[in-house]
Amino acid sequence: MPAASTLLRPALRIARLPRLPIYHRLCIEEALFYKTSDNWFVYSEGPPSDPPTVVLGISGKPERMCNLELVQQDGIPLVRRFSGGGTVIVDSDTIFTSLIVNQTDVPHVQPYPREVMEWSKGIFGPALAALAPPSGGSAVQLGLRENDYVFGDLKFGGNAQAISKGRWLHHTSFLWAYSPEVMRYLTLPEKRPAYRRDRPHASFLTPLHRHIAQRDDFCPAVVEALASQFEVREAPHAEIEDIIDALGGAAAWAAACRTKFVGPDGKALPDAAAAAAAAAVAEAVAQ
Amino acid sequence: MAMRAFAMMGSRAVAQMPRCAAAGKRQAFGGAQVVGRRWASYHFAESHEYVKVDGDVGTIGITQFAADNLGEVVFVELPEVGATFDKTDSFGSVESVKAASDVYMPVGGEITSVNEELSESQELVNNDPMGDGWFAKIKIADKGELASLMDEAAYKAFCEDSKH
Repeated sequence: MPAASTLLRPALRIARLPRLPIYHRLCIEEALFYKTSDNWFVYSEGPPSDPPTVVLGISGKPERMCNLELVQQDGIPLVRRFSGGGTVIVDSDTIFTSLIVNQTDVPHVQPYPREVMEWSKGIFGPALAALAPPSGGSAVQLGLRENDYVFGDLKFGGNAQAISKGRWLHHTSFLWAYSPEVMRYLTLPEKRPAYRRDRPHASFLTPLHRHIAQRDDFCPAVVEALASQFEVREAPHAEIEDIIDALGGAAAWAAACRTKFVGPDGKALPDAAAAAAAAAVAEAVAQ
Repeated sequence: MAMRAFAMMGSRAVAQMPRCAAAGKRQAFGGAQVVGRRWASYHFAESHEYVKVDGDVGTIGITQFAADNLGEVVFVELPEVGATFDKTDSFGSVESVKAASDVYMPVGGEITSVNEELSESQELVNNDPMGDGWFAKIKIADKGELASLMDEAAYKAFCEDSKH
């Protein structure tokens, strides 16, 4: 007979995805969010080998958020995601995690950005605190500043959310390492948190590798922290594939979902161009 | 608004609400101040959208409670004029600094106009969501659907309960 405390915890499925480009990853998340009724924690196993990809929020404007000349010169893909929030550059130095939760399963968490952030601190905070710091370092304490995850006043993770029909999604791009070459594709945002002031990327961001020793330990530590509030169960890859197949398959879902490759004008690329972009990225990841 | 509190609902009776002489009078409401607003024709959904009824025409948007909790609105996605939606269908979305949130029809109907001002002045949603920050006007398909919505008092209680 399970313990009473176990019976009371809602179920949470763990989607440990294979290495996928961020575009495909976001399409899968969009399906899990809008087309299932389960709670999910989504992460990718192993460091991805994404070429740098600019990922914009649902209303992000490339001309305002990116150094478009550099982006176009270097052939950097632009992807618009279905959640709000700002623009990030995602590459192999990014740890991307997503939580999808039914409000009924966390009724004490009001489905508003700040409340979700506060709740997430109770997950990511213990996870980070449980991880060994780099040699000579000290244990970290997660802080929240406005909408960012910080150590002190240095940001290491940015967040975005989507809220729909009694469910919310909270995804985070954690900066494992910082590359000035990659950051140059992004401009200094017009809307910035007050605590950032006018600091450039290099003075505002801190990479996670300075604070925890092993990258591969991070997501399992988050799963461990989630297990204190949920009954966690890993979802096999085949189950994720079945969800996409039920939507008509990857190509049909990609055409239907809000996640899109976009051009410099912010408009969705035509299907053929989007498919070509997706194939190019997938090929780069596979190498 | 896709933000639902889980308070137990009180009375949802929405009859002809008494006109309140609110012109020039401030009323506290879920933390927001309402000036010069006559609440008699407002009806509220649990998902924090409202419909202001004038004959067969409804003006829809999100409430001050929703706007306050979302934070600074940066973008509003509005429907096409002529589109029809059923009650509780998503008809657009609101993006604040960090979250994209779907908005839902409090009652079904056809979109007859949208608030073009919001493309440039998103701050209207935060500053005056139930006045100049309206989203769309609709031709209400079935006024009987109003009966399932909350009046002012019930909505106020609903919002208060959600804080606990």
